[in-house]
Amino acid sequence: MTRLLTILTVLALVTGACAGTTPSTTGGGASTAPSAAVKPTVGGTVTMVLENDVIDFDPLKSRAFVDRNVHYQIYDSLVRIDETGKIVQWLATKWEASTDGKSVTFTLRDDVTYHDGTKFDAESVKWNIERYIKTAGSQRAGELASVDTVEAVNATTVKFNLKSPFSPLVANLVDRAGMMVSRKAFEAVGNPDDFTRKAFKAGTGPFMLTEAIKDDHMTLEKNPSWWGKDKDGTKLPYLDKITVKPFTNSDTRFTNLRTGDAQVANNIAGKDVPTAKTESSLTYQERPALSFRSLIPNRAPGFVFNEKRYVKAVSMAIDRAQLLDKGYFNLGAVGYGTIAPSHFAFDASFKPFEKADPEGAKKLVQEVGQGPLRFELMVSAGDPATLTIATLIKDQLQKAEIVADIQQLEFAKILELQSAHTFKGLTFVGWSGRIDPDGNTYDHIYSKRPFNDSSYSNADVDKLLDEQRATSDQEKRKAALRMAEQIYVVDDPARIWLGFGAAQLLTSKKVNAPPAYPDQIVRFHLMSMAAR
Amino acid sequence: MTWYLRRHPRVFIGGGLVTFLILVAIFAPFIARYDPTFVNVSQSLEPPSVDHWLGTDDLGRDVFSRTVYGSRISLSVGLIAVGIGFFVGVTIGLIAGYMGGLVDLLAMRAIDALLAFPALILAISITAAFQKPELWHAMVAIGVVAVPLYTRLTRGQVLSIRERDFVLAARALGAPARRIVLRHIFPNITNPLVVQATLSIAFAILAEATLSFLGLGAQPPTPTWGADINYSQRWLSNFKWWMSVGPGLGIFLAVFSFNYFGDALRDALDPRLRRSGT
Amino acid sequence: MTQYILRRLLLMLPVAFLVTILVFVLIRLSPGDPLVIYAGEERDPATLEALRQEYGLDRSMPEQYVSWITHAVQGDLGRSLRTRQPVLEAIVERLPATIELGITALVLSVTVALVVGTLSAVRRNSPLDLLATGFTLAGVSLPNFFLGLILILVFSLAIRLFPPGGYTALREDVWDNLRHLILPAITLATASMAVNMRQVRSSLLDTFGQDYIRTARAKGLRETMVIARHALKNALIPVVTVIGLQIGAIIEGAIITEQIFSWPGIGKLAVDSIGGRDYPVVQAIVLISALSFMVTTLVVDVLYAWLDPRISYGGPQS
Repeated sequence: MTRLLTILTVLALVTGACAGTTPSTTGGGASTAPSAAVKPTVGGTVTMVLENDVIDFDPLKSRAFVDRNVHYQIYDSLVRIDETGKIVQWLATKWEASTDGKSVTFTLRDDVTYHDGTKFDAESVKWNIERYIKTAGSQRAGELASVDTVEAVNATTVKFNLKSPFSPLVANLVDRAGMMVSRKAFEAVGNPDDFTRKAFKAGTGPFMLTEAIKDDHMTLEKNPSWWGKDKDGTKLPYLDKITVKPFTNSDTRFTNLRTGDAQVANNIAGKDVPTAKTESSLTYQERPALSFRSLIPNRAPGFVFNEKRYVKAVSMAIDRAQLLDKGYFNLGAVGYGTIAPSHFAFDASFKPFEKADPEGAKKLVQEVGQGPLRFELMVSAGDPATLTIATLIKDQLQKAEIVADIQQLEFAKILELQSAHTFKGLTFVGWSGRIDPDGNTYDHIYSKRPFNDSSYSNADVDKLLDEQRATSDQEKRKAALRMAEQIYVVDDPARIWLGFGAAQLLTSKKVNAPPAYPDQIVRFHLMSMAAR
Repeated sequence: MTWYLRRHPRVFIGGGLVTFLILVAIFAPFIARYDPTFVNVSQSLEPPSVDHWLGTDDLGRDVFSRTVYGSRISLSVGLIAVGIGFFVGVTIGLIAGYMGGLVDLLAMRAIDALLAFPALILAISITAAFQKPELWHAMVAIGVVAVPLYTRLTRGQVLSIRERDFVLAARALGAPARRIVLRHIFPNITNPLVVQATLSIAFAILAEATLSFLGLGAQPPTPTWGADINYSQRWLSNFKWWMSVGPGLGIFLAVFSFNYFGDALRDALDPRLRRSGT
Repeated sequence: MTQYILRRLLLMLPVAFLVTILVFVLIRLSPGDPLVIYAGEERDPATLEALRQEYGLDRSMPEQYVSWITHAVQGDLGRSLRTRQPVLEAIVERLPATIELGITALVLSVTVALVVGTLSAVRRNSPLDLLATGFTLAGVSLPNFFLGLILILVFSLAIRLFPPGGYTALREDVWDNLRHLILPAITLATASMAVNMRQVRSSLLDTFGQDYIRTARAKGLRETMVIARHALKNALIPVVTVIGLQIGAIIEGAIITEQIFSWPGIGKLAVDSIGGRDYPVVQAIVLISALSFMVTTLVVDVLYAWLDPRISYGGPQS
């Protein structure tokens, strides 16, 4: 813990020092817009097409991954990541853990005000974190479970006292758990159910939410007094206004960009990527994301996949390269576990099922001696993309004489079976990814955790996962995570992982786009209109 | 026979179309040139050719074969769902119409409730309430949605002949209600019901396609037209139009045939309408 | 007449009551927990439990129903489980989009039906008539989701004339609003256009056979006058009925059309809410559409009586 934080603190100090001498990195985090040579235009309006409507503008209530696309524009969090996934300073300019790892102290910027004019300070952090922890039904309570109390030492210093050392805490503060909301704006609305729909001018971020019409559009307007500056000292953001339109249909999103009705998208179907790359009016960027794709078996007693050799046999028989090519249209990467390429603990040499091995799988099934393996493969109804992948898997498993019966169910029904742990075969589950590998692993694998839908339980794995949480030594964490991964992927598999996702950024040539980030969120504060 | 043919050529054209569809469904294995579920990724997304008349989908499955097989699901859903709606609807209509009074009042309010319930939402909710989408569940859902049509039609017809002499005579002779309804009333109201049933098959095929389009019909990899359109619609933006056009034409042809046949039957069976001859 | 209307309005109450029970039971029989569905990647059991209590979902079904219906009769339809927006507000917010689409489709459908239907009746068995009759059957036989997709393929993707989906409010940008409106309106109008056209044609043909038309013609009135003054007016009676019924069909059709064109109206809200088990929203949408369906039917019946004095509603229940 201490060591990790020390490393981070050093990094922060380095960047902080830069900020002291040249204003180049303030607010930009890593402001490396592709066309950095030209001075960016100030002003302009862009339209972004998003894969779903934003439901909760209140970080406390936010459940859907998609919400964060707007949160990141209207709220600042204590820390952020740069485009490589490294944690960098944001509202906090440095942070330091105590030697016993039981407290972390943050130093805050003192030039930040909320959109409604109130000052951001340590008291504000304390109020926000306590609200996240103490409100009944708070979605952030889990991420902040390690936090016992928060102390405002002085206006720019805030201390988090922990119940026990918890190394992923700072990574959790990158996202919604570290986002700062104006107390005045929140209390002015009164009813929290209304605030989450109308969080107008409630953050400190580069843009302010000024309008939100459900399933239609949202308007984000420039925050003229945002604290961030680019490397030339020009105040950020450059853009005046962002209109965000939700379209659940990927084709509609892509077509809107092709026709010029929209300028920004961060999620288009893999099948359209070749077109996106060749279309002369568009710029396409892609980068490995932190998300993974997996199949969940039910490992509970009484279900067919209680037999771990069956899980392994399926994992062996699947041709992940073909799935990536024909099912995901080469969007993303082949993968086998929870630790993604941009995680510090990623092991590029970990390739347990690199080549599909239907013969080996067949042998393993015979070894169990219960006759042929047959199970249900559940697919959400009305989801053609997943149906393609399921059909490919069914076809691949046939070579190992394993029969997968595809069963389309309503998404609601699949979730019900999954959380009741009563499904018979395999279900598809994706995970949007977290900055720390712990966020991709712990709740999915550790006994009885909320996302352990496979009812997996392995004492050795639990022990290793607890160990990596308690230590701040990055090398030790890496070792423990990798040891655990070998067990829950190969020796006693918890799931069948298929691969990792990709972060996309598709923009019109009319704008200068920032780089794509592994968290898939667009950095609008670095975007500007292209010079005419 | 020839007289009838000359007088109602449309009945024969319509009947011919419907027979053709039924034959396609029965002999699908002989007409289709490939196994409709055979995955062959090396031949995916091929445009129509001599080998694949309607091209292949993204998994290399033959679209023509899937379209031919799709007729089986559509027709059986059409017939069975209408059968369910017909049986339940006519029974309620006969009882309510004949008995009148409180029974009629209650039955008709329930029918009104079904009618006022938005049909598609009703069908979706019923399939959802079944826990698991299956072909059989879709049939029941569509059947239930069709019930009010038959009940209202039957009841109206029963009311109009309930007081006719032959019914009154049978009643005076002490015939039991069941016998009066089934022997005397029902045979006299079949014409409009047959027309309605034919037209409802068209409706049921359309409804099945819509439910399948939403993923609530037969299970994959069974080919059904609605599900296949839903499956392949994402490829339209890449101009792989043939994947959607096959099943689309299938639905169109089936619904058109039953509509045409029903229309023609109505002209032929209902003398009041003959004059206006659509 | 007033008595008739009152009686019909009174009969609506038990029907509406039955509808609410039906929807309440059906949606709750459906598998899935709305809180888990909306929890997405946040599935902390303690949080879910707290929310379940806050939203009253931990109570028994009859208790929930009684609580809902008592509030509903007072105009409080609750809050959406997904967005926490008051349900009434959610519906009112989406109403303009649905109404705009529905009315445009209806006007389009009726206009085309009147013009083509009249021409088709006047020039019976002409090529135009045959073409129109063919189109009619084709129109009702084409599933609207397929028609919508084909229109998108041709008009948005191939020749890029109209956007493939989306919506801009009328008050924001009229031109942009119309651009987005055209394809969904055509999709929605086609099926009912076909039915209306058939109705106009056959009732005109019916009227042409009537004595007073023959008299009018015998008097030497010009053919256009005969059609406009006499035939069309009388032929409109059954047309009004059909149009009334088509309003129901348009509400139905809007569900799929809105889905395909990402049109932010009630239909899309309905499908999304069923999928997500957003109980209060589904209940409210079904209740409101059932009520509007019944009111529309009543209005049509009254209009019918008013147009055709021969029909009387004083007698025994028909």
